[in-house]
Amino acid sequence: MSTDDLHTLREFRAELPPPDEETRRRIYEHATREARGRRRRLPAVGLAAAAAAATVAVLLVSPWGGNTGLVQRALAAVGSGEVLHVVFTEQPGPPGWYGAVSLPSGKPLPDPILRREVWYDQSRGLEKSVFSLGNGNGFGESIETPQADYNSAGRITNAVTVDGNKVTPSVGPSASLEPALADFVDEYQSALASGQATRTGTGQVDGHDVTWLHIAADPAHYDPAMDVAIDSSTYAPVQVRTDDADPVQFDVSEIDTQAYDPSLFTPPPVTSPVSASTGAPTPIDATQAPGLLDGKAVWLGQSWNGYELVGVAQEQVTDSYSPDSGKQPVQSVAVVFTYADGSDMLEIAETAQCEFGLGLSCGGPYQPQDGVLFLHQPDSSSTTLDDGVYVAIRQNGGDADPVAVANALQSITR
Amino acid sequence: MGRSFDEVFSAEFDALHGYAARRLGRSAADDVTAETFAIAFRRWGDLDPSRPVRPWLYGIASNLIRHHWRKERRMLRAYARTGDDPVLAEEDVSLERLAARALQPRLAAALADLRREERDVLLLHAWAELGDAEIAESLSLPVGTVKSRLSRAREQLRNRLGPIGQVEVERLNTVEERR
Repeated sequence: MSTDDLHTLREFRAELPPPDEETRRRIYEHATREARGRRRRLPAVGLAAAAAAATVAVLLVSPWGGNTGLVQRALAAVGSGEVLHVVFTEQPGPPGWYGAVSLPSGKPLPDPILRREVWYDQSRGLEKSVFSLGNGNGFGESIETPQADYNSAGRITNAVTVDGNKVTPSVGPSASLEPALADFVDEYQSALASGQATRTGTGQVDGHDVTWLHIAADPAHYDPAMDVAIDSSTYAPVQVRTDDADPVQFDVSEIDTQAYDPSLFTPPPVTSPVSASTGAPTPIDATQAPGLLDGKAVWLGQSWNGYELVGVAQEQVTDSYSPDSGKQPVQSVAVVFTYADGSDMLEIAETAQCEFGLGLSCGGPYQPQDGVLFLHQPDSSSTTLDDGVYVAIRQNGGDADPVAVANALQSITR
Repeated sequence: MGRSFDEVFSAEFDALHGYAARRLGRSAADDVTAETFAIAFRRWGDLDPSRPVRPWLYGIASNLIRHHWRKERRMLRAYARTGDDPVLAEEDVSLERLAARALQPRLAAALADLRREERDVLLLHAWAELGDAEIAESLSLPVGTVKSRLSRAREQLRNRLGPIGQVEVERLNTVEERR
């Protein structure tokens, strides 16, 4: 049912009735009035924006209720520099997207802790994020600017402006923070300033005495309610929990503001491909596989648990890099062992290096590891590193246990 | 001979507005659609009449929608959390239609988790019904990049909807057939 996702999406889309004639007329008049003088927004929207601005102004000068001392100190703890700097740790999500199990026990492993360090300059529309694992090993960096976004694959082009027939990358919006953090940053500072944060109690977080603040949900802006633990001695936030049906929790290990430094927002070097293609498979003999993969290859033998080896093929994988990077495409070889049990198919695809084109996650927390099987649910693929060989296990039909498959892999002897 | 602005407005308005409304809600869609056609009107004289106008319009709209991405993502997340569609909250939607939406909070969550560039390509394909080449022209991307982004987005969507999604779609089909 390859069209299910599109069918579901179109159901989602089809529910909206068209706008009424009055709206159509109003928009037409707005569009064609452009020739007589440009207006950025429809009048109703402009009024709404003005009203919102006035509301914010009122909120900013409103009293801070009974939390004055705490709130003032909490605001002061964040600072008032141009660049907000936050270091926080989070669990990767969403749950079930990837799962890791130990080999050979098959027991689930905890999700890795991810650390993210963010520099955010709202006025200049700049954001930089550096991602690392809990052990400090970095694995990614991204930069958002008003002109373009960049990550380790190079420049990301999302949209264009069209001037006649000349199409150029757009001048985009200001950078925006990842939603969980954005909810916190947006709500926290404004809620403190407007007196909407209420003190709900005290407690301990990671050995620190804290005061809990509750920030009510703001349905108008889709902001969830959240509870923020404030360190009782530094008044800096140390833990944030959203209070809704899909709760998010993260720990804030640093938060401050800094002076603007343009060198902070330079694009990271290009290290990841933007696309990969696979050439036509060429049948080979299984014994040729180690010679194609730096001397090592693994398989399930001629048969395994009812599955019979029905084919071995060599494929050329080409990784292509962003044209802006000037990097040439890189080619590598993959070997695919195909097993069948009736109509159920099982593929063991492998390479000597971590290969994006094989469907492997490379450079991040889910890069294949020895002794660990990553289950990519629920599409029945899984990845591991076996004796230095990067392996993707793919199933089409059947219910072979991927842990059993991974544990049954054995080296091919030439 | 190319079509006039009025002809294009008449032909494309409903679809473009609907596309923006599903992504951002009706109020923001009014703004985005108005600004899209305002830009189109201003640049109409520069448009090559031999080239298709739809990708051009959706390219402008995509650029404008991009400015609202956080709102879009928050709305999708709100929908996923509560099951109440913020876009439909202001609409007159029949109970029958509402009953057929059991899957959609999951779909909203899946859309919210897509990368922005993948969501743009997916929704231009699924909702604006642009072909790969048209999306490439809209977003100034190589066709291969459109294909790979679309493939990744659809794979993620299928993975998130999973077998329950398939059952649900079959149920929806049955409901539709009975109507």
